[in-house]
Amino acid sequence: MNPTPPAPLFALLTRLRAEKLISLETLEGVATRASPPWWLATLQALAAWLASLFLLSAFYVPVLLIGDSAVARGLGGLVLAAVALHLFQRDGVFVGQVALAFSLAAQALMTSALAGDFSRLETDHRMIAAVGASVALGMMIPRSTPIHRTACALVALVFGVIASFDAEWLAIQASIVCTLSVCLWLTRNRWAGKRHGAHLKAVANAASVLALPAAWLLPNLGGTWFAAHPAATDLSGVSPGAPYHVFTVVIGVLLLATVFRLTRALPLQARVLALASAVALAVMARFAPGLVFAASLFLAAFHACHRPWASLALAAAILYLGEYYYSLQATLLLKAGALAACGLLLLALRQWLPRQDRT
Amino acid sequence: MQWTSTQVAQLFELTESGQLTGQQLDAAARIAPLEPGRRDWVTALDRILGFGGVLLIGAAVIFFFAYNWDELHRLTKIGFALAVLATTTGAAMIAPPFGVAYRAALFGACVASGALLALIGQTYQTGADMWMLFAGWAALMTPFAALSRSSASWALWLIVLNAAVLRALSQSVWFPVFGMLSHAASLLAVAGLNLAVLVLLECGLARMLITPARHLHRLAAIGVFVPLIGGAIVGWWDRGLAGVTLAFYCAALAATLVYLRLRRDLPILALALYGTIAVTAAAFVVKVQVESFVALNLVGLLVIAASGGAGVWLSRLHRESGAQ
Repeated sequence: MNPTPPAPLFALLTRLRAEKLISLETLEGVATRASPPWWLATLQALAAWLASLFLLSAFYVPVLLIGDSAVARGLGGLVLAAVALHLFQRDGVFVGQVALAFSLAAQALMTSALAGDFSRLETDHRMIAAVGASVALGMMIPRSTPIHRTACALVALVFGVIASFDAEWLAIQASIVCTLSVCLWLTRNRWAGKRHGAHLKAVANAASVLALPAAWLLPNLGGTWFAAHPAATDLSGVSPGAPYHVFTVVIGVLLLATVFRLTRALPLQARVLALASAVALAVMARFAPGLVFAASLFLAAFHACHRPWASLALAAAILYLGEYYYSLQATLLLKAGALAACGLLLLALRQWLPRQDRT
Repeated sequence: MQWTSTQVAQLFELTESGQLTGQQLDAAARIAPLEPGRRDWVTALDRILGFGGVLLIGAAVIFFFAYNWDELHRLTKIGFALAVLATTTGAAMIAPPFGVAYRAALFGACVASGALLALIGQTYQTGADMWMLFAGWAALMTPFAALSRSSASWALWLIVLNAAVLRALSQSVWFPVFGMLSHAASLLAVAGLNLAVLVLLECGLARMLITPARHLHRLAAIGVFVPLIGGAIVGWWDRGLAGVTLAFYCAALAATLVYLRLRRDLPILALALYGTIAVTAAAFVVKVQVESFVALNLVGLLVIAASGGAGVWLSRLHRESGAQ
């Protein structure tokens, strides 16, 4: 007998069947392959990452004993990758977990083989990162689980940022990652049904994972890095605060664009009010770009009906608020004024919501 | 008929995982738009704008007093803080009971009570330690949290209470600042506090909440397991923390029994199970003396097998429970 799917999924499948959108076989197939909830998927990914470290060590030690050659490491990585890809062809949580751990270990071995030893990380970091990103992208393409694709996309994005890291481009990199995450969630209804929908979902998840700390780090570290490296400032001709200002402007425009897209169906007066509020919020919270980004990510994820990311965006907003206290971009008095103005704006906007739908 | 937000999310998930085709998704979109409906937006924005607005204003008050404006007389400052507290409680009195405005206003009162306490400490320099401020704040906000019956206010209360205990332990003469988390007693104290809150919630305190959600239970469970897991892993190397390892296994066993048999809560069960896997893997690393190819693979396979098995079992329980 097939296992019963969770009640909400069963209700959906029943409706889809009643609307004649799916066959009975599809209904039964979906019922047996319901995805694990997000919290379980996260714990599984962490466990697989831990297991992959042991597997990696297990393969690395004999390779070192036989002879520390790139060929040996590459072969070891290829064997593990082949096993992982073979396992991904089969269904099942357990098999998927094994394959995920094998794939992560394989990627580390292959990157080490292609780019050289990790001990040269400090000098050859761009080369190693570029190879690591390529290997992760390669492993992301074949059929696998959503957790695996997200892990690969995350590895590829992180390595991509490292490979192209340049203090001058720090703000641009952070802006791209933040914009990518918001844009992908905003357009989920367009790509979910496409051929590469699963891959775009993985990129959206990975970009969001990376964007949240980026929005926290950049305002603090961007300017600090330039202040600590005056030579870089002299060479590039940019001021210490430049990355911060670029990021602030991009994040403000991102919020405006998000509201612009989401309010298309509203009457003109309501739309103008929403856009004016977005502009006011972006200007008043310019010293806390993390808060502005969290607002954009929440709106985009809520529009995409992705509850975990919408909730995470709100949780991140609270953390950004705590971090804002220690920010050196403005005095506490100015920050207090900006926060009070933002708070009053939110409360005023709440009054504007239709009363009959409020709780 | 509209799709609900949950159904839209599931339609996307099923299509992205290849279980539905793009054509089927397009057909579903022709029945109703694949996006949240007007009512979903209004309900979400109602809460976020209400609680968010109050939180930002509360934070603004704290920032303002932290600025320590010399030109402002101390009585003016205290009057201002009292006015904010009076405004929030007054707003709660005129708002419909237990609605979003009522709960948001009392959440604001919880934040404002901390600002008032900090201001008094700043003005009169009582010499009190930081942990006393947090403990006092938790005590002051308790009536507001109880009246609000809101998860947000109680979550803030729990966080402030934990901050008080952490600060008290780090300042205590027995646990020097940086060594606090390396002492079994301090880890057990943090876990014990959260366990007490969890037990109270399970024994009926949660009935005080307007929305019967289990967010608070899970927050308290994280407060129990995070210090215990960290201490238990280190406990395999450091004999001084061996008691934490024992306490962790007892807590994990108790959580498994309670949240499997008595009150099914899969996220807490998963926390206990995956924590057990992590702590047991650490035990193997120490006891098996992982140095060889076989031993390393053994531990790796143990983690894979245990986490895979736990994943299969929890997925089955998830399907059976019908939860989302």
